Amino acid sequence: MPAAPAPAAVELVGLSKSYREGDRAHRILDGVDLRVLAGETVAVLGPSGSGKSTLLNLVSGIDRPDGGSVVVDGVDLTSLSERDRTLFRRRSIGFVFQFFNLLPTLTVLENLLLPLELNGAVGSSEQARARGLLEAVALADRADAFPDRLSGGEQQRIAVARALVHEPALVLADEPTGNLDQETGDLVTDLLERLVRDAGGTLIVVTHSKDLASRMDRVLRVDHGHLREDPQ
Amino acid sequence: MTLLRRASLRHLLRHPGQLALSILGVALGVAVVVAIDLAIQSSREGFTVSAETVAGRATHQIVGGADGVAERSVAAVRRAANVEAAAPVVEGLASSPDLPGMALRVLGVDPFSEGPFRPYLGGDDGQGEDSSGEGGFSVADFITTPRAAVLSAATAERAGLRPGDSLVVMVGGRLVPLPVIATVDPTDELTRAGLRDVVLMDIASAQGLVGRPGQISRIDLRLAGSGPSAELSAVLPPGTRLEPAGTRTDTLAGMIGAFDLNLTALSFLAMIFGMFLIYNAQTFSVVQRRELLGGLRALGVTRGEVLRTVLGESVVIGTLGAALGVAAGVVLGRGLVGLVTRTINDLYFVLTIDGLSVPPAVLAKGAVLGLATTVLAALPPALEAASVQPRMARIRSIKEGQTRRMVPRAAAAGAALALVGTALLLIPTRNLIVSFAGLFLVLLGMALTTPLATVVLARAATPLLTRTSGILGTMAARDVVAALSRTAPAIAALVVAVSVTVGLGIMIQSFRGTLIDWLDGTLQADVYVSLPSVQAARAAGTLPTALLDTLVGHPRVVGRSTYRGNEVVLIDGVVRLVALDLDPRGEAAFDFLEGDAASAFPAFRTSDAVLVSEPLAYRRGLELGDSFSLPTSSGTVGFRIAGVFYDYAADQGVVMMSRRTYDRYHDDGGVTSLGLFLEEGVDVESVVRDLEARVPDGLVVTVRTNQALRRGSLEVFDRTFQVTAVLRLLAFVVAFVGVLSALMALELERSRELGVLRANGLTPGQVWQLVTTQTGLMGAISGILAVPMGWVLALVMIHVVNKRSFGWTLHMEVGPDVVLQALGLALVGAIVAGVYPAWRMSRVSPAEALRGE
Repeated sequence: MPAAPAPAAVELVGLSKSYREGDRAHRILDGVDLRVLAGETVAVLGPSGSGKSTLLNLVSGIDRPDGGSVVVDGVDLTSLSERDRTLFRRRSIGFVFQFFNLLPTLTVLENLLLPLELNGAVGSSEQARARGLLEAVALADRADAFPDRLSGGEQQRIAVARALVHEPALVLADEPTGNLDQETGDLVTDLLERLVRDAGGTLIVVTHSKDLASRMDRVLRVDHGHLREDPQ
Repeated sequence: MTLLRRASLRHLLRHPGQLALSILGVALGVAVVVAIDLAIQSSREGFTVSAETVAGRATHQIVGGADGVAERSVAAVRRAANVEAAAPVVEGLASSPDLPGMALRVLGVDPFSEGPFRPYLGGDDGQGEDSSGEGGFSVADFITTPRAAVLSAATAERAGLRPGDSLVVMVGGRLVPLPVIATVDPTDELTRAGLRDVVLMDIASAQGLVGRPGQISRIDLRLAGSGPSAELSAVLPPGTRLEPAGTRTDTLAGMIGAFDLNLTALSFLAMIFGMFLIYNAQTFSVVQRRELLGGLRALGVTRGEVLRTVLGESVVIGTLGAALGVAAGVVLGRGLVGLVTRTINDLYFVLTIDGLSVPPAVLAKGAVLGLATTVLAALPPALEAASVQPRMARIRSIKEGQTRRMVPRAAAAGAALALVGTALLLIPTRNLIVSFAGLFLVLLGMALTTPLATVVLARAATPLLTRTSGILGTMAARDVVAALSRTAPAIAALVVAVSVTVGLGIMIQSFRGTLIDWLDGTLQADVYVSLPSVQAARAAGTLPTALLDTLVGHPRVVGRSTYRGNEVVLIDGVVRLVALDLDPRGEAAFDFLEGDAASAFPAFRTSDAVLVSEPLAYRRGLELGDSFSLPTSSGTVGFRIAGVFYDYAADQGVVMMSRRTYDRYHDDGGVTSLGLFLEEGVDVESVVRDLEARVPDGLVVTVRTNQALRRGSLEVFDRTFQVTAVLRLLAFVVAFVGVLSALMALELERSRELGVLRANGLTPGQVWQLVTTQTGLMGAISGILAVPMGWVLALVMIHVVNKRSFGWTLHMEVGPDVVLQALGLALVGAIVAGVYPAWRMSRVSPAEALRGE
């Protein structure tokens, strides 16, 4: 009996997206097809403005495509309302941003608890999970600090922990090391890769960093609206 | 508390200055609304309680015209079918040196008829119940002691009197001692409050005191269930009417309706400024957090959750502001109630109140209004926050691009609103709500055009600023346009605030100018003589005939006019009826709106024609040749209108009747005041002294030159507008706080940008220059825009609101000082508001400012 094919965490079919620039429509993505298997890690490379972030926005349901379909964890996002896409995102997707986007008015621990609370009440097991992740990113002693007391690298480690705390099916990272020095960036990359793999999650990273990309299972390149496998 | 809520509360607490200013804005708005509401309610309540207490348990009243009701008719009324009881009442006004600043109401009653009506009097005649705490007083003493008076215990205590002492009152220019034979202390709080200004006397004593022998003010009735009978109607004396008790009170209270509404509308202006402030603060707070909100949306926070979070912040601000505002409103109300009641006393009717009454409903209304307006003002920024698209959040230029695209649309919407407002104002109605709605729409419409005007003016100013301040000037001007999403609301708020200040200023200036012109024309006589009155703007009482003869007989007097003024309460309002014996030299006093002196005066002198004032004609839609009906001793008579004249003395309206006509229809020979014309070239002041010397001892008479009377009238005018001036000031303070918070937030948000400039070599002094140039430019733009807006506001206030409220035609006066005042106010306001951020920014270290980079 042949082995069952691995389930797809993300499946994009014929995805296209344009933005208006003045009177003209500027096509960013043009018939993109992609299948990312569950547990796979994928890097997306490409020059600035090529559509990498647009791709992430479409996969996360933040934006809607002009054509084609986006299926994440078996759910067709194009058929969902804006509210349902938001609720899907809070349950099934973790996000790491270039500029961290931690809430400055919540402590480190509270920032981690936020995705858990958005998905329901926070009990002792959720607290324990958040604290466990803080230990995993080596910042357990900063649980009660506010983000503005942390360095950029520390903030991004917290952001990585926050992206994973609610055990999402898919983690999306938008240039997670773009705002960090080489050494700190490497540390964050290590963490991100290790924690996602430990959790058995799927990771799509948009990056300019070839080092980061080389650590992923697959590398893709956005080129003139199309997505191609990068031979590395 | 959810983490989102906790985060948002901490955001508020991390910006204490912004939070404090927002709360202060709401609090000031609520305080002004609550204070005015309390002051008005207290005045109305004081009047109603007093009127109801005096009316007692009467079900109906028979009231007459200028000379009241003939006393002899009481017996026939009492015998009519369905009349269970009837009591004659005499009312008059007095003052007392024992009770300074208080107007007293002399209430003359027949103690044998009183039981069913005013049981609190508690006489020992056995009629009615005794609710007097002290067990009543001797009716025998009451009617046999000459000029016996009964006071409420509280009034007696205030005057320092006990039974057996005498209360000295001033009536008809004479000080008269009234033996206080007893005091009454009703157990009921309302009755006690209603009696605080009442001097109770036997009816005959009261008639003698107020100089109306044989006349009574009204007959109080208790009718059986089926109401007035045909028999009762048949015995009503000529010129009197029967009406349910309370009708007269309602009519009198209706006199101050327009006055109340104008004050309330002004107080709402402060609340609207408060709204602007909240809108500004919340918009800024959202703009500040755009990136963060975008991040939250990416994490899966729904639009509804963002909306609720931002609105939740406004609930916190609104609740704290409303609570503070209500408390401040009570304090402010204590100050304003004196001004409001004094104005009512000066212009409408005599009113004495003990202080501010604080009904919980007024406080609740103020609190709800404050909270609701805060949430409403926060709604647009909250919706904006909820609509933040995660992918766009970081790009500020997108937000500014959206704002710039909105500018022409906002201006178009503004123009449309202004047109709708203008259309509302043009509707030929006297409804003040419609007028104020039109005015507010016009103001809102003009405010919406300020972003477009800001762009135009800032661009126009760029070359000048570049020439005077170099690159810093260029930056300052361009930043105003580049950060339009934040600068435009602040400028709009300042424009509205300054324009309201300017508009009200023009209105008051125009009113005063019109009044001065009118007084100059009206005060034709050289000397005016009247009795001292409890109402500043109204002569009262009657001058003794002998005195009139003595004064007119002065060798330097070449002519005289006499006036007899009476308030006549009609079913649908109050008019002042003036019987005028006019010297031909006094005819120039009349400036006719309809008709002319050549035709009006012959008709006025030789027939029953009357002259009516503009407010009366306007309110009742009267025109030249129409007939106006008045109750007289000979029944209700229609008088032909021979002219409509400008008059600014009484907004309820004046009917001028020749003395000859008046005497034909009234049983009243009194003269209230006298105007004397002197020989050409005499020293008026010395004649005044001569005339004063002719006044017999014991009689107090006011003899004034026309200049002194003019000054006195202007003093009353200025006093009347004190409340408006206070409100104008408070509204400006609210707006200023709003602008301060907006500019502070705007500049503080630029700290990183300024840090970069500091890192590139900008000195702290240059930071000062940059920030204050920018805020100064915003102030200048606001000032320039506020001038036309203030002018439009004044135009509407003068020609629509005032006309519809009071029926006056005012001549608009706009001096160059108004333009300078607007520019100065806006400029100084904006520069002062920029001082703190400039100071902060110049002190911040570049390293600290760049920390976020």
